Amino acid sequence: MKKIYLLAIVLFVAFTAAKAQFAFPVEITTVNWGTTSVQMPPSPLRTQILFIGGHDSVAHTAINHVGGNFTPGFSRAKQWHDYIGFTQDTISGSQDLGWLSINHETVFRDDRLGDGGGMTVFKVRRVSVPGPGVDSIVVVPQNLSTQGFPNVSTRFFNVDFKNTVGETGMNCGGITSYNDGRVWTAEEWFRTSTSSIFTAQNAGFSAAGPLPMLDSGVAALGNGVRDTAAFTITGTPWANFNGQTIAKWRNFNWMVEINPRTGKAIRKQYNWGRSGWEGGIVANDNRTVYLGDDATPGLFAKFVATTAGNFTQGDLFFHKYNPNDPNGSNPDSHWVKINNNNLDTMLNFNDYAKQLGATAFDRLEWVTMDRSTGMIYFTETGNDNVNLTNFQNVVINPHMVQAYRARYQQRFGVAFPGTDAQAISNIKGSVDSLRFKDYYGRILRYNPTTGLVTTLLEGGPYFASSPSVASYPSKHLTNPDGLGYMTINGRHFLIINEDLNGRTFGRTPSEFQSSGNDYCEMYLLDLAIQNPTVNNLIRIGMTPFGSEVTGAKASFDGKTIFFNVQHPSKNNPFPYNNSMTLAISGWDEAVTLGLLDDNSKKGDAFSIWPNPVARELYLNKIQDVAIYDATGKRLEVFRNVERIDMSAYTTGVYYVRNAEGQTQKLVVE
Amino acid sequence: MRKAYFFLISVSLFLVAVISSFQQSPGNQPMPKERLAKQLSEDVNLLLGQMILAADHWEEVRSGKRDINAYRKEFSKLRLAYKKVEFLAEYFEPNLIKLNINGAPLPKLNLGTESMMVVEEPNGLQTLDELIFSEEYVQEQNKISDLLAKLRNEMSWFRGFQKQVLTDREIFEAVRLSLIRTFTLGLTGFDCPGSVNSIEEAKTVLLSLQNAVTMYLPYTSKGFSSKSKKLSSTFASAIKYLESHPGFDELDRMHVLTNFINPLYTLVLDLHLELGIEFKNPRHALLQPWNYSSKNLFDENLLNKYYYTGLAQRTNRDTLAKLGKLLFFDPVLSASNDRSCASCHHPSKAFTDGMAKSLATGMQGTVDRNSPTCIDAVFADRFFYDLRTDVLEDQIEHVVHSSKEFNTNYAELSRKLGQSPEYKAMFRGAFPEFGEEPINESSIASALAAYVASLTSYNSSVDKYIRGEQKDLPAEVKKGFNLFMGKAACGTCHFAPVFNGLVPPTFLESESEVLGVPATTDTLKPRIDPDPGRVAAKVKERVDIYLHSFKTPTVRNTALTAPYMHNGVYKSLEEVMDFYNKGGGVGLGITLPNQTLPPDPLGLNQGEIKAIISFMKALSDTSGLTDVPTRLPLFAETSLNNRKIGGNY
Repeated sequence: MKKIYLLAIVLFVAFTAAKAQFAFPVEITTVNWGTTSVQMPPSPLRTQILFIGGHDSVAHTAINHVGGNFTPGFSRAKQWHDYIGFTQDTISGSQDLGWLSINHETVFRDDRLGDGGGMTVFKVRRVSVPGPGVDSIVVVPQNLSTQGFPNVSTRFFNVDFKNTVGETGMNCGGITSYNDGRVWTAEEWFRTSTSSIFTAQNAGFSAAGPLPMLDSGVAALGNGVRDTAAFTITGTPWANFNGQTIAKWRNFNWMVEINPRTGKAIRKQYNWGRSGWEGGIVANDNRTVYLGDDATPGLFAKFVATTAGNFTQGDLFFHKYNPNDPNGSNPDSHWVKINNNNLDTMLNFNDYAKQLGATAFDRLEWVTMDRSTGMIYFTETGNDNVNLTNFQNVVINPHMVQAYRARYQQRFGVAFPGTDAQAISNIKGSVDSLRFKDYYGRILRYNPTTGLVTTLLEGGPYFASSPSVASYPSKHLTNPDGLGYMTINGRHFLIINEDLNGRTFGRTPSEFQSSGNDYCEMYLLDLAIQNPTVNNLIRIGMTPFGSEVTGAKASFDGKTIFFNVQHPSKNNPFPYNNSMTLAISGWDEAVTLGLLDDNSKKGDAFSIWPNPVARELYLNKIQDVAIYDATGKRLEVFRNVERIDMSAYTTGVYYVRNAEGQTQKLVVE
Repeated sequence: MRKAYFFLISVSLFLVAVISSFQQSPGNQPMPKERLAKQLSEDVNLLLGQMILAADHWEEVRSGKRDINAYRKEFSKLRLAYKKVEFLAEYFEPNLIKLNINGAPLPKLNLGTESMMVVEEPNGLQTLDELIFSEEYVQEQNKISDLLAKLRNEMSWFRGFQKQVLTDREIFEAVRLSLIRTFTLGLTGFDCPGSVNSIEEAKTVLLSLQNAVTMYLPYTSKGFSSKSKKLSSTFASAIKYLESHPGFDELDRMHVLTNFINPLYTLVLDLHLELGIEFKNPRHALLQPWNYSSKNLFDENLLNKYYYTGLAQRTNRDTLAKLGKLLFFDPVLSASNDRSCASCHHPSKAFTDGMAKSLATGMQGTVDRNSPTCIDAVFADRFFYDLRTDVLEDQIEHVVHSSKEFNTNYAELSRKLGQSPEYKAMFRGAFPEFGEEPINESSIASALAAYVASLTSYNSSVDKYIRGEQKDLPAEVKKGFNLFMGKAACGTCHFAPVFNGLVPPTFLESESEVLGVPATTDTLKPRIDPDPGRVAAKVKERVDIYLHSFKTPTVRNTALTAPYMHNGVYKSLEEVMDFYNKGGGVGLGITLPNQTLPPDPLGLNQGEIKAIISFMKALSDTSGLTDVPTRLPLFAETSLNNRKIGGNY
């Protein structure tokens, strides 16, 4: 009789098994890529919040302006954190790591901090903490009363632009010199009229004429720069510029040097030309500065100082690809010099360069350099509507023709039948449907020895070399924006930050197509890899819903990445509903442990590794898997994954089963 | 013993037969998601082929080789080919569809950086539908050619779908979203303004959903068989009903909703549960407005209302709402201590005040716009008539700062409230994360937002009838609903079920419209109300298309919220209906190039207008929402303790 029961049970089990066509039923967790906080890999890495916009108190110096006259005091920090400058503390005996300079990419009127954008500076120190070798970053209180700040020890300091070089707007990217830690902030806010800087006047609006004022609501008053009086240039090293008066709007869109040690603005770099600058880098010679312009067409420019370290004297060039030197035997033939002693030329630098046939880039963002090779890297973030009809003199670089051809093939399933000249004519043409739709952007490389700009890494899905759509978002790259450089234990990496231009065309995984929020990720790319593809990206983590990740700046000791979360959704819980600066430390150990090595082994046989696992578990291919505990209870189900974050699992034995029913034993340590 | 064995063997044989039948029917072919992926790929090929034909044949129309009426039929075929893949295409690329494939035939702002704002001219299937089916197609032939070329180009991205890996969960979500879309947008005529082929298109969509759902039925257990049958028969009768429909104006949409759409919406969820397919991670689901677990389009939990606030992650929302309610009625929030939120938002008038524009502080003049209802106000992606803030909490800041309203600031307000030990204790209890300084901008705004978010109404007689909780509804109300959702086109802007500008089926975006609301009721010399609306709000939306554009408010409780429009120009619903029936501002004779309301008269007769008003009146429900606190917290400063609940005016 016992046998009968046994048989019945076996049959019953067989029956239920046959029914279970949908491998892992009910009450399961799908992989959660979205986050309302910051998701970063766990130990040995430690993530800390250093500075919260709209919340932390910032010291300011005396300020006199239309908003009132204020003695030194405090105000709440501005939001929209973008660039991070890192200035190493080289004072002998100092325990401090150095100064961070945070850009605020905003236009926000503030009586005490000044109108427009701005910057906050502060000093950080590395402190060893108990635990498995992880150290932590603290913000060091300073008393900067000698610089005009309140006579107390405090952490965050506002850079006064209003009473020095004039307000700044939309402080986006910037420059940190690796040679001496000098910092420049870039003003992307491209203005075209005085009224356009005071946004309530709404100059761009044609049909309705001046708008009636609403009541005293913030939006109605305008958050723009209230002081619109003409600006007189004084105290600059350029004697022929001193005393000249320019319309206020022309005092925006410069690279602006600041001193993070004193919290002071130094000068707007009038001799580098006025443009929608976003990023730049000072080369190892401490003479050459490369600059990128966030526009379409956007300029790539360079300034070469006469004397190393003195950026007030030197020559200014814009890049103009020379088709007669396709192999780069004469790098100088790709650069055109422009007279930077004439204020009018500098005020209109951007227009002149475009008229004179500058290379047309599609929204250049940040610029960095491999310090070991001197190679320049910069992001071309892309733009859904590349329209060059009003800029027929510009030159199209071969990389854009290449990208145009590649996307054509991917889109229509056949190779673009025309010549390069036809492709260029389409890109520059007036027929919208033939133009270049640059949805994803890319990372570019400039080689100073050839003068040529080539593509390092093309963004976006659907190429033959692209990861499978199903492996989003662990492997994809869309609209790269912030770009940093890092040396960890002798290995050189780019730090790549995304800032999505949209959610269409596979820029986000389907999971998030119907959600109201963008989400952006941060990656490392090993510069030792020749001809990298998106498959080579090492995903570090992602920032809260609605935010872009930016600021990527590494400490020189290769241990810490500082980064910003910008404009997160207000629906996130505090403090993740504010822009903020964070530090993630422990990279030296991560490299030692091999965490950043390429783990993409492939194969059809069901396999998982590493085993035992502490953090991320890799699978042989993208598939559905379920995880069971030692008693056979199903804990979680994951669909379409090739890696799983196991860090939340407690130490012990587990089983991983795939959709075909194959099972592997897994030890979590 | 033998008998036992014999019995067991026969049972076994029976079971084996059952098992093999299970494994054979569904087991011998690929799983539904694979079959659907293959079918999607084929349907995309067909669509792209139809697209090429539509573009090529248009050139033949231009050269006189093809008859326009034959071409119109062909264009409708293109739309139907799109409708066949719509439920998945909309799921995977909603933004592309809206911008370039099947968005409203209006200019759209394609967000870039501030200096690169691009207003895209109307394009896509809807725009073409309007042009091709108009009498002016001859004059517009160049434009039609360009639009077809553009559409063909944009549609080439559908090839991306051919590489899409489908999962069962996504398919079920796509199906149920499509049911909402088909009822709230498709059948209202929202997306085929020219051909008005809505019913045929809805049928095509239902066929595609039927096909997808049917693939899953063989995998269900025996216990589900009656529901399986119900699913099949409901699909079949829905399709049959649409096939034999009497015409766009006459279609009984209430019948479609209650007999087909809602039952299918529930049954597909049941099937999902039956199959044991996973749901979206609940933590992530909370960050989306649409609640997948809802069982009816008019369910109380169709939307996660806290999605629209910063409160989604909080667990003590009731405590916050209680505190927020005290603040709402407390005049201590104003600098003059005589004015509260309730000054302009009276519970008895569904939280409005009966005035064209509310009194300003000190009774000196008025504020700039009409006081809107707070009930169901939470259901919005953006707040204010000009859509200038992103989250409910930020909406309150304006009232605090405005010199015409509270005329104070958060620092001062926090200091003042801190002088009440009672308030301080309540804030400390509600916001432990802020320690000893619990009263600040964030906590004040959170509490008020929690109270406003609690003011939602789901129990009007219309809701109860649709949910099957109430046997019948007056014929005139049903007629009004059908007109609202059909001939009168109200539902193409006041989207069901909230009947405001929150766009289904994802409910992620609040729309604004340019109606041409006049400054006065003078119809002889009508002039536009000077309020610029949305164009003056956000820097990144400063484009012509938003001049005089205002948020679409809910029509729920509208019987209680007179006067109407952003400036309170109309005293009665009859006046409002007359305005729409004439074609808005342009219909009245105002010159307004960017009006989004079609300027043509609606052609509603008095009986129809009366029915629509009856329907709107039947949407009233303020039950449980109107009570006022009986006392306010005490202050150390005793003179403050005489303040009047709700303020002096």
